[in-house]
Amino acid sequence: MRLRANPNRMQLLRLKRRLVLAKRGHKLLKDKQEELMRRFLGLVHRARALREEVEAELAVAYRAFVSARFEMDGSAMEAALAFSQRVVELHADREQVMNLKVPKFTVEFPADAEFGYGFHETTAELDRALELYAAVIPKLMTLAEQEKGVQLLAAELEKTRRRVNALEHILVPSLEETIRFISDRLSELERETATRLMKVKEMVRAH
Amino acid sequence: MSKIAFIGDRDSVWGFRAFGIAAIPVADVEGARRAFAAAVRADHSIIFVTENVYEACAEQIAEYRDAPLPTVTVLPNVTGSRGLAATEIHGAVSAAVGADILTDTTKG
Repeated sequence: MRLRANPNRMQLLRLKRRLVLAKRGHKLLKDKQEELMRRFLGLVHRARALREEVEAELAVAYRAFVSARFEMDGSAMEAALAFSQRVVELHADREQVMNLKVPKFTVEFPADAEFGYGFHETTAELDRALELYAAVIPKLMTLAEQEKGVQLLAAELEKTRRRVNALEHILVPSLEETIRFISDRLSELERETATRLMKVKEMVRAH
Repeated sequence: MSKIAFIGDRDSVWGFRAFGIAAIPVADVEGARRAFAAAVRADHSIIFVTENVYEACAEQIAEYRDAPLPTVTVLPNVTGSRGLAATEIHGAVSAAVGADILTDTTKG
């Protein structure tokens, strides 16, 4: 597709400069795309492995918790959970990955803290279930972080891919075509002038 | 110190209350939507949702997809996983790569 441009030297120069810029932009974006893809695929593999692990562990923890619930009085359970001292501390930071900000979570977890509820109203099943929960919780945070990273990187990759394609398949070819058109036109004009001059010279000499 | 919430059916979220995670039990679609909006307003950094809640709030959750926070993550509920999160990752990968490159590895 040819761009609309007057065939003169000024336009030709401008288009040549634009072509250089477009090619450089294309190269940079292509590099960015490759690096993003490398990180993205690594992250996807880690996130998928962690997802499987977490879902398996969570299923076990849920089963333990549900069986603990059957054995305990609802209000006693509620009180026990409300009194628990094992509070997860989450710090949410942002990490720079290329031009993106992805969340980075750090979990502080008092591993050896007591649950803090009384012994006589709670059952061993509840303790066991909560231990399972405690084991899986830090992994949940990591999973959240990684899956968010996957989403953000995927969106950025898609955008970059579109830009690379637009430069490669549309802008660069049409610039090249227009440049060719203008330089053809200019050399045609030059030949025209040359023949005209020759003709004029001949007429002058014949006179 | 950032806050964490878990929205889902009562049996699934209840136990997380012991760890200082805001467990928000919901019973229906309408409740789930309200709970999600409230959780976002309350400035939770991570919002875990069960697969049912995720489906009910899909539009709301999509709004926060491109923002770093809040991070919304799908977890299975007590009845088990339907693989919704895996489908999500698949969707992200095929959008990014332009082709579904994971299908073979999941079947194999």
